[in-house]
Amino acid sequence: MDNQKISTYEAIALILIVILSHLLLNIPQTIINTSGSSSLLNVIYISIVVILVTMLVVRLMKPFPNSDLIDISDYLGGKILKNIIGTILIAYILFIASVLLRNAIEALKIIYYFNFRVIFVSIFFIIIPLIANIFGKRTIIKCNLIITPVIILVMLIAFISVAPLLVWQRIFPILGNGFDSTFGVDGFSNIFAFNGLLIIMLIVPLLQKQKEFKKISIISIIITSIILFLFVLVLLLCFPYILSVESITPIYLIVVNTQLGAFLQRPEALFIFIWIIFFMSYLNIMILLSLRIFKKVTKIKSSKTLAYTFSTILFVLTFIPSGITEIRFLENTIYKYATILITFIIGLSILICANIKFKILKFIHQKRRGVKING
Amino acid sequence: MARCSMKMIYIILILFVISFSLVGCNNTTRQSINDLAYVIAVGLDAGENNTLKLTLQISKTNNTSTSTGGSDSSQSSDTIVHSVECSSISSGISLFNSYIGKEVNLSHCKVIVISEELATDGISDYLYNLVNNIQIHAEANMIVCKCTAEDFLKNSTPILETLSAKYYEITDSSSQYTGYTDTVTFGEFFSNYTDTFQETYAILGGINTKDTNSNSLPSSSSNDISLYKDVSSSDNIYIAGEIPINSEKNSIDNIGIAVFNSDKIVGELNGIETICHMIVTNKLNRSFIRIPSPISADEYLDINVRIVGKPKITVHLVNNTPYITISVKINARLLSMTEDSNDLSSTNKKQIENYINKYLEKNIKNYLYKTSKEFHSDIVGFGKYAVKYFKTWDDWISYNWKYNYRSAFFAVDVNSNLRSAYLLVDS
Repeated sequence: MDNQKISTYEAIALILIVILSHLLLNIPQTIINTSGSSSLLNVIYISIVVILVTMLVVRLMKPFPNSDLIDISDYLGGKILKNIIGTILIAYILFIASVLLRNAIEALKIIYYFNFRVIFVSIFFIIIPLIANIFGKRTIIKCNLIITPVIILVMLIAFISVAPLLVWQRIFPILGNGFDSTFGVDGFSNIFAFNGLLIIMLIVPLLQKQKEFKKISIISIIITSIILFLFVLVLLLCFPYILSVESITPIYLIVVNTQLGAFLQRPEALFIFIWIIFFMSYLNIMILLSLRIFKKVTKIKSSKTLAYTFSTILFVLTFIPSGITEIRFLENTIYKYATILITFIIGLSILICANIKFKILKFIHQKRRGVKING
Repeated sequence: MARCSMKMIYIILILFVISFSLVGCNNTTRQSINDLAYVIAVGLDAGENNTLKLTLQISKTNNTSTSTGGSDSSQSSDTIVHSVECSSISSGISLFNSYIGKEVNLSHCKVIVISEELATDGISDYLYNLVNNIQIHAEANMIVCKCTAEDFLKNSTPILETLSAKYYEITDSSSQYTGYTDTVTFGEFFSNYTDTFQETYAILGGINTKDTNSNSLPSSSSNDISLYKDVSSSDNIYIAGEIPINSEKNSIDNIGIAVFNSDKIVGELNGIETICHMIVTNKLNRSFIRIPSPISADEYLDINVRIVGKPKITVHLVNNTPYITISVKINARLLSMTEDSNDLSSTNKKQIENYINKYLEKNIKNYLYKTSKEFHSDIVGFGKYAVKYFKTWDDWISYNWKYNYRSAFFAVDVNSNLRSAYLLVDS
């Protein structure tokens, strides 16, 4: 058994951490801003669509065993397409990680470190992926397997503890901001919440059991759908002002309203601690993925030393947005449409075209074999 | 494999060390507890020379003694109460910081007190400022006082508690067994204020002075005393600051509800009206009412009431006018007992039940019409039962529930079940 391969649970945790980190910051708020009171309907709708898309991705990747999106690009368009896609993916991963890192730092700065400079807090966050990626893939993925269930558990406890505030009638008016914002183009754009689909397209060669790929993909998306549904449900039904007021981080809004009996009145400090660990693990994964793609594109033997370079790039990118307004713009607009473009349009298009090429070549091959046999 | 496990342990250790370092870097922990002034109550009044008068009740963290040493100070020994005239809450806190030489910290604030005078002018700006403050916790109680917030805090002397913070934590719990006020937290107050389904309300507070002690009649002009036959049955129509309790010192009490329309106070509810509010909103744990006896003239019955299940509320829009029906089930127990009581015989039981039903129906209707016609304020949140009739948010907003509530009409049905008395059945 290859020690560098990852198990089913590790793969699910890897996909979940990428999606959950974004969920914890701003995605539910963006969905609520778009759809209003119909956000829950919208989440159900986009979840069904994404589950179907995931099944399609699994089916489209079936003819290419042990290959990820980079390998499939190579098959489809040769080195040129492979290099283009590789570069786009690295840029995308570093971009989303940097925006998320800056957003998280700004949130933490407001909550705890109001007198500290952003650069100081971000150094703490950058050191971890730097060291972890030198230790290696296996270590990062095993750590992540411990951390991801903890954050899911914490989120569920937070959701349950604010349950007394639920007013179920807040699901009305049923169509919220209108049909278009629920089921139309605007509503459909909320599909960006499932950015983890890109990770699904990249993890196939890492899997210990290739047969489990379908199971891993579907389970990850279903867990994400449930958490996204619960998150939007709690925000929408407990806090009416979420429709008019934009919170710095919605999960913090939930956590400060939780009261776990008289014994633990202020659980937010504990949550912040777990969140910091979780976020560091996320950065480990993002640097790991970008290093892996870079290694594939450039065919270098070891990418460990490049961890310094990628961590430095991430660190520098973090300082591009000048403030929270720019971060919100990057998250709500650039990140949203970049995710839709790269994951759902480019990723799917490559898979579909590669399948067409595969079928055409198979057909030609069969025809030639048929001619030879007949001849 | 073992090497990998060791690496994993290293990574987890590093994660923990850095996470702890980050948590340890925060400003609050960087300072010693003696560098901070922990506020347990915030008071807001309309300023005389400036926009606002900010009052803070600050805990004396380095004071181990709780005795005042024979001082006749009106404030509790473990706290100090000071005020400052300022233009905003933030500037007031800055002025406090420079005055006391410590950094004011609001993370242990248990109560936010707003004077009736300030609430009449509107408190929207202050609300958003407080919500925007990371230190203010949603669990702090929201009180509107009939006096100035400064006087209220100065008179909030714990009688049976040694710590003021603890006193504030438990004082609102009386609503669970009296029903004379509702526990309204700051989070709930702000949530109701921003809600399109309902208006907001707060706990009503006041000070009992020697003047109020000598006056045994409640003064509330809006209360229909004739409804209660005479003064002997009017114990639950007091509002805050009117309870005739004989005490050597001035003391605060919380009885009733301050009703808001948007961010302005528009009226007050007395004890019985608050009980009705608690019944309709399904918050009543237990309470007691005093009703004229339907069996013997000039006698009164003390009844302990509890609601059974959730009240059934329906809202219909009849020609765009809300028609609201409420059905409540009550379990009642007889508290009063006389020498020749035979109240639990089947005929008498039925009569008492009918009277309880009529009494509560009448009071609940009065309370509801008061909120609708007099206050124009849906503090129950009936809007949430009407919103289902609208397809989109724009339809709902253009209907303007809060405005249409003033034309609402109500049908109330109370179904009580007199289960028993307590230890005695008949005498």
